[in-house]
Amino acid sequence: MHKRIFTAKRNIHLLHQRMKTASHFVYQGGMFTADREMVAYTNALTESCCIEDLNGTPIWIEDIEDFKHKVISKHQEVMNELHEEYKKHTQ
Amino acid sequence: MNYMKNTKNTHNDVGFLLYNIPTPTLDYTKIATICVSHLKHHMPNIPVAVCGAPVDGADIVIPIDSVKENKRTYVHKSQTHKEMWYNLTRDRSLDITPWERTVLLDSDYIVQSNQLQLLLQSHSPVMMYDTIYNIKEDLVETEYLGNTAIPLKWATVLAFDHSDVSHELFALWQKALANYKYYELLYRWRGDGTVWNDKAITIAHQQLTNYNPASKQYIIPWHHPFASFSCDVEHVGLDKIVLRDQKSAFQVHTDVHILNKQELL
Repeated sequence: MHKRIFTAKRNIHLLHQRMKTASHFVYQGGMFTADREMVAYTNALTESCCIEDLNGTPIWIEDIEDFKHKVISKHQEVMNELHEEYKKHTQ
Repeated sequence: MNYMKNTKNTHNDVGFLLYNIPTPTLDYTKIATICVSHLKHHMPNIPVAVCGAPVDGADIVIPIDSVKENKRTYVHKSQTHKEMWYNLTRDRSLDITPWERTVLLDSDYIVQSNQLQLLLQSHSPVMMYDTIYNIKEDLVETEYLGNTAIPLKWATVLAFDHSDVSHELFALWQKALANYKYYELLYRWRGDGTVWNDKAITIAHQQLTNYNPASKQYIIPWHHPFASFSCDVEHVGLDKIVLRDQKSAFQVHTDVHILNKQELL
């Protein structure tokens, strides 16, 4: 493989891993990740409820709209950074 | 415990803790200074306590005496290195830490983000890694405790508070270290003369989670990023580290545990 392509691929892998890590956040003391599944899941929720965090701890979410906002804004923040950084490695 | 504080006031309930006990072969103070400068750059409002020899930039220095020595052998660039180091005090961290909630980390774990802040915000009484991300190979890996299916936990980064669970974890950790030979035979790992905190903390986690090897309780949900001995360190900046292997140089912008400590000096 050409060295330049190899380096670009390696950088993109590192970038994906960094973005996966960056998508984690803490809400009411619970640890969550703002990935696609969480975005879809929270969209299905309409009122206060209990959600299991990534360690299996049940977290009571009183203000579901605030939680949704947190998930979506974190997801968008990470995706925007991924988009910008990805361009740097592929142009 | 006698603390030597620098001029900065620390009003925080949370903070980082690292150990700096130089050895005859490695100037850990230099490595710890790099670690502290990165912590301060990325998380300036979170204080850092250093146990052992003083480090520039640390908010609190905690003196320590009577440290048990450990030894290890590793191969780097086809050469076998033997060294002594003092890491058998980490199980005392709960008594030593000045913080209500602490993130204990190795001094060769170099942060390049504020990701560890999440561990200070979490309400989980203890948190540790159980997977590693091998930066060089781009591989997420799980290692196992001896000849078992129990995923190995890593003592490199450990978040803890002063809850009953934390007290239990540290008590179990100390028991595992005190009975290390017994567990070596029980879990059938090949003894190399080195006492590994990773193994001891894995045993403690097992006992804490009712011997469920699949338990994700108390586990940090992202991977422990590390650069193996085969990565040379070309440059360490506050926002990027340049590593090199036999294929190419590459920039790393994530937190990274650098095994090749000699290259940090």
